[in-house]
Amino acid sequence: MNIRRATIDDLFSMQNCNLSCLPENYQMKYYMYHILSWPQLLYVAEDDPGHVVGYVLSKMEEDSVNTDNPHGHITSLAVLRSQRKLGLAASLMNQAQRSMEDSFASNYVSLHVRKSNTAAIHLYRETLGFKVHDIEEKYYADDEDALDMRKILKHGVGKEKHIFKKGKPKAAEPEPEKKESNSKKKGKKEKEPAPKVEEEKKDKEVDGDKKKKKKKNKK
Amino acid sequence: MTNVREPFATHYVQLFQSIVKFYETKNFKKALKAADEILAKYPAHSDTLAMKGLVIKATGKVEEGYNLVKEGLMNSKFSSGICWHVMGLMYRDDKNHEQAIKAYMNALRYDTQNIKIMNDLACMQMHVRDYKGLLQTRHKVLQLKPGMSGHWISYAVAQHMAGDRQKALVTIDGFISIGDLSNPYELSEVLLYKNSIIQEIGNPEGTLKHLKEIENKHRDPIYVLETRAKCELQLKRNQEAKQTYQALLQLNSENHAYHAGYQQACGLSNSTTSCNDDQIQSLLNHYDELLVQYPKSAVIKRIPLNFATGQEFKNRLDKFVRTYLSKTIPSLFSAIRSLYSDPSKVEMIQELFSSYESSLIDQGQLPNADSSQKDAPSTLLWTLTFMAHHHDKLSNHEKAMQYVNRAIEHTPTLIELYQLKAKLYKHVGAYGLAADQAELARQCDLADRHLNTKSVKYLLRADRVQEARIVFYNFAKDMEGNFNAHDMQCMWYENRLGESHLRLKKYGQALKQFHNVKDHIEEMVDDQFDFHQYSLRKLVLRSYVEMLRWEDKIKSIHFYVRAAKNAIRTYLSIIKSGDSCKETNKTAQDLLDLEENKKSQKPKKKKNEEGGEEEVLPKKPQDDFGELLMNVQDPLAQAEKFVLDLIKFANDDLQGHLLAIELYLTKRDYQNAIRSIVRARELDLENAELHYWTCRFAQEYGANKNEKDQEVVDPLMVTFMNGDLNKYNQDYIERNGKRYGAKVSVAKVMHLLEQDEQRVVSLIKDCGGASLEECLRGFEFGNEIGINLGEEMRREYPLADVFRV
Repeated sequence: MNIRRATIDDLFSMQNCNLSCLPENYQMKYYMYHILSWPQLLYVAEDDPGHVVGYVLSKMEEDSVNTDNPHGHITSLAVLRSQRKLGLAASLMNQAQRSMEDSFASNYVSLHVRKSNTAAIHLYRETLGFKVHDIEEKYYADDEDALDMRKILKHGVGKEKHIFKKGKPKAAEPEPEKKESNSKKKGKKEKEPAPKVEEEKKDKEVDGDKKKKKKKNKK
Repeated sequence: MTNVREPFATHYVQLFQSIVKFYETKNFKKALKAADEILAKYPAHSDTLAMKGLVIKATGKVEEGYNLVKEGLMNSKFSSGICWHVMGLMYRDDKNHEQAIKAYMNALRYDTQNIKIMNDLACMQMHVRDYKGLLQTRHKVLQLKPGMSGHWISYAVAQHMAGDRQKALVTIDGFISIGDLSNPYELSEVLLYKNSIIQEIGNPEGTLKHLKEIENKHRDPIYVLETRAKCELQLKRNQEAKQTYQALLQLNSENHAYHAGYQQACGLSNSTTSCNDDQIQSLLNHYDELLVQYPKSAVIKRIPLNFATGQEFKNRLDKFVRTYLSKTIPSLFSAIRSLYSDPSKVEMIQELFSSYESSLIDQGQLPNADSSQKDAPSTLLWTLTFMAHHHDKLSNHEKAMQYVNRAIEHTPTLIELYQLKAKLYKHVGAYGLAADQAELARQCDLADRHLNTKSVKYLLRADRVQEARIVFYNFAKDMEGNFNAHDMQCMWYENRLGESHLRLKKYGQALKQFHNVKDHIEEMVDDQFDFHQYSLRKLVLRSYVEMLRWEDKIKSIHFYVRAAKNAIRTYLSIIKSGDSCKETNKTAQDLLDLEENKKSQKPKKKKNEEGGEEEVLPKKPQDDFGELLMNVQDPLAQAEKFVLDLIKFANDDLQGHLLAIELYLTKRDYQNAIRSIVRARELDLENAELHYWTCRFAQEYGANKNEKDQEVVDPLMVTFMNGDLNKYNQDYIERNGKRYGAKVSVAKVMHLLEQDEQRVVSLIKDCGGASLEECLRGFEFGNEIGINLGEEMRREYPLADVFRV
């Protein structure tokens, strides 16, 4: 068993592992978006011949990055059924968390998990120290509720009130054509609406292709 | 005639600007209205025509859109920068990169200082890897506006990709001096990007020096430590490397590369096969010390098993295994499987587990137990399970099956056992029974996608296609309930589905799946496009450069290689089968299944401008059974495209070269055929299938060669064959006579040469101890020459579906 940071060569394996294990899936572009934005936040676990048997795909919440409350988010976490009981999920999460602290000075990390997924909730709450922050009703494609769980990281110590304040969550998760399947999955995994990458970037990219040049009038 | 370049009245200027705004916010109707208003007054206004074309195309009327832009271009006598730019945008959207680049370059001839156009052009040039053009464009931009820091870094990346690493470093320094690097992460990424280039140049000292310089400015301690460690090892600064690796291990003790590096830094042997006793002892001491520091580390407990020998190995193995058994960790076999390359260790493993088995059965405990307390029943269960895996690995199929059945009897509720049994059935060719077991496993937990995936794989292997689809549909659907394996780029499914179709001679349906995989890969190549701008803005540049290099060889990914090989096989089968493939491609059941499957699907909708919904039309014609692909005029040419990809991106794959040989023989392209033979020989000299193809080549070439061929082929061929095909064949059987696969190939060659038929038959009947794949080859050949080897094969693989027909 080997735990290491993911490289771009691992994206196919991560996508395949995700497709094999979880009902919430993403297109390759979304994996590319992660590694091209937060390369420190992707980790894989591999077995002896070098096959990826588990991964964590995480990110920094885009809107929070340049504020006083930057925080990370676990997009997706999976470990093959045949490799359970080895503490891989916890190891992967710990590595990702530490990188969130070291590279992004993250105050806290959040994730969504199905209300019925007792095994995962146990991992997050008991083993990793997450707390339930909120319940988001009908969060999943099949209308199941999600627990919004959060864990304070070292930069967030002393800012608990700020982090755990209730109220409307910030900007609603972008929801363009969600390319996901629904399911009644109960495994230690969760999901995240998968914004089409272009949508996300349009918010930042002000130079829509033709705007500026068209303003110039041709003589 | 209105002068198309008349300055606009202000009203019309604003109208024109509004077209742009409306276009960008996708208000196409309003954009068109504004355009038409201008055109009412200035009907030949080139720029407006171009913009109108852009909008029209966006509403789906592609040809009309292009025509309008072309009209605009003509009206402007091809000298409107805006028209050319719009043209470029349209080609870009249609992924016609070459034309897009030409259009952009034309735009720049008339709009020479337009940085926006230059940026668009640069993205395209990067996309097609035109580094020379890219350098020129980025350089121009930098010259025009050196005050914008972004232009510096873009230029630096262009220099880097074009191979001018030293210059790139200088440019990066320029960027750092004028850029706004208040964002610490961005600064960190730029500095580490610079560092990565220094590394690439091959300057470990420079790398270390630079790392020291930036030690308070970077935000990636792991990367920095890893880089430092590598450089220190390179420079043989072992003391420093030791400390760096220790720091890394503190952060992650489960990383093999760290351990390997640490071992090396401590001056310990790196080989696992040729250590002397002293070296072994040092290694063992080393890891024992580490274990004190990291008592929970799985990796530190496992690594010593790689080089320990004899009793030491036995003791450590015993300890290692007992932990797994007491915690009922399912992956025990997987954890020690790599030890099976060493026969002495295999023996010790067998001894150990046999002793466990007898002790547990006789005394209810593992051997040498501390107390009289009995072990939990699970210990015996997982021991039996391990033995099943073990015997399966050694191809003792019957024993493996016995063990798994005993385990199932012991604990019928353990899902893993049914999966294991499925695997055992698969290994003896009993694909139907394997699928049944996988289904049993899946039924135990319908919410587990992993079980679902396995079941689908087994069902497809057993050619139970519709069943597989129904099972898969439990998970492979989107929010509207539409089957979404294609959307989610499920290449594992497409390959296996295609393979089933291929087995059943449904060549069109098969091709459809393999082309799906190819389409996904092409999608992923397109995906990089947005990142050409994005990454330069985000400054996460090491990743960006890695991504570009990854894209360059993306076709080497095993999904694509598998699909390519499958596609070639399919095309070759189509050629061989002639018209009959049209009959076999779809059965009556297939038509029924398609009807059934379409019932649950809803047409895709998207929001239109008025806030209502409209149907999304599929981009390609529906071709449900792949008939367009199957009936293509030039199947050989189609297959050759895949062959060229394999040669370029999977040059180490023997099967790929074997298929190339077959294709080129079919094409009578002897020059390319011999090249593949030469490469295949490098990969596996005594390979049985290669032997057959080499002989077949020799025979066909001998009969059909021409002078041009002789120039190229003869010098290569003479290195391994002197023209006496019979002798070549007999020599081969002398060298490889023990392998059944070799016998089959030799028999096939003898048959080609119309030699002693009796000997041919006796060769292929002699299949004792052969592998399943070898038996399949022999059986297939037997059928070709009218000999039914069912009886002989059933002796070896009594459960295999294919031998029971």
